Amino acid sequence: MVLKKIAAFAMVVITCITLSSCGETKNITMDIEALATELKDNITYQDQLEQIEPDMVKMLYDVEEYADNSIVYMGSGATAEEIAVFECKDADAGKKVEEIVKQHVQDQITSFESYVPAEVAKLKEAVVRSGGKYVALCVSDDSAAANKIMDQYFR
Amino acid sequence: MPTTRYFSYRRRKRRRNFLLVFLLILLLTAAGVLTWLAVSSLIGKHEESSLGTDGESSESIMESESLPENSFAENSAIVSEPESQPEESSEAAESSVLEESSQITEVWSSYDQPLPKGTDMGEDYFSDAVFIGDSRTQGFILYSGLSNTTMYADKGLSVESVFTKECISTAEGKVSIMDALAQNPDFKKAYVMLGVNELGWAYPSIFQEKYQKLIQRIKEINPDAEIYVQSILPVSQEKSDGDKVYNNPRIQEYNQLIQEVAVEEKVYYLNVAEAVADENGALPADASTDGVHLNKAYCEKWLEYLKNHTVEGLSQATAEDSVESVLEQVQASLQTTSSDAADQ
Repeated sequence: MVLKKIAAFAMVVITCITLSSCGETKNITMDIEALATELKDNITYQDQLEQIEPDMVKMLYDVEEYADNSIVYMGSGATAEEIAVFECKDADAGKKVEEIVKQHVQDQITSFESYVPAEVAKLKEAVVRSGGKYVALCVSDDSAAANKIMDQYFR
Repeated sequence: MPTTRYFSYRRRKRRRNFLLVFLLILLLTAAGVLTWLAVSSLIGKHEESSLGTDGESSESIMESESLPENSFAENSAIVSEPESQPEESSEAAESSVLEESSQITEVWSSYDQPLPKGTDMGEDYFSDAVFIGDSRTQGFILYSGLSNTTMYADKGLSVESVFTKECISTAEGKVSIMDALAQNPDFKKAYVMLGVNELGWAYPSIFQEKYQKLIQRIKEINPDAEIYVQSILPVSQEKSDGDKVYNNPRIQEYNQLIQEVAVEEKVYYLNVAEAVADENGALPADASTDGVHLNKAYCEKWLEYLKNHTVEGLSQATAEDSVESVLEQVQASLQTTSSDAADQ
């Protein structure tokens, strides 16, 4: 009798864990190009952001192992402004990429501290979002606008 | 008896005539054979020269890429082939071609002039190259799409921090650019563009000294690599007029120092500035948002310049010019010889 209760309890716990983890991954699907374009067109940047060829992304982010698709817009070097959106292999890969993106922002802070210190404020306010297998970054003067756009995609 | 003498005289006369005719035929045949030999010899030279253009000559030029003078030794071999021709015009053509080649060799070996334009070597040329530079080089590589090359660049990099700033990620952690280069010494070409972050230094001579030290270190790491030093790109007129440090006269002064290093160290100086500057020597207003960092369109102009200004590209262009010139001269000689033969 006790054994049955324990088995039932274990089943309930497993079901709860499975359901909650499903809730965490959210099964988000999005058009990463649409998100990147919206971040580019609906936020004012000081710099001219240009899209980097997909082959070149590896020079900025070591995500080849984890990401299937990526769209990156970079400034000329005059500012730290940047947009990066990644579609990863799965949610676990997404978490790895999120760490890489956060480290990239930290490295940029180090680079700009002694180069263009005014850009450090933008980097500290950088918006990094992740959900399911997607990760996005926006470095701009207007983090509120970036958050608002990302809210529409990471629901 | 007189009749016998008369017939004897007629026989001797016929024999003489026969001998004369025979000698005449012999002479004409000999002349014909000699003419044919001369013409066929010229045709042979012509065909050899044509094959050389596409085959052996270009291969030999590529083999001697680390020694520019050797490339011209090969070129000399190509142009010296028609030496056996007796025609004066052909000899004159050879000497003019050799003169032309040696003039370009001087441009190469003296290193006191920017490397001239050659054949477009394409983007694959940079697959075994390393680019050392600051934020402008970073932007250049990212915007130009050179995914198959190696970039050792960082924001604010100088000829000093290239040895000390640990900014390159490796499996063992972050290392300086020169340490990263030493760990990966298999590059064939090194492109350097540094200097804009040093414009504020109190003593430009220290910049020159450290720049030279950097070139010497690259040579130590890989003595066979071709080293290209690039001129510092100009800033916009607006930036230049409003900044006591980052201005074009100062950049020109530093470029002169870099060119002096190029001469001393026997490395190639590339006047990349001419690819992006306007008629006043400034960066056009539409090239940059801050007057310093180039946008994508201008990075593409920069790439076009680099593809067209290489030692190999120059060798190829010169070899092509030399062979074309010799071919023209041989064809002219051939026509003259043919008309002479026809006259005979």
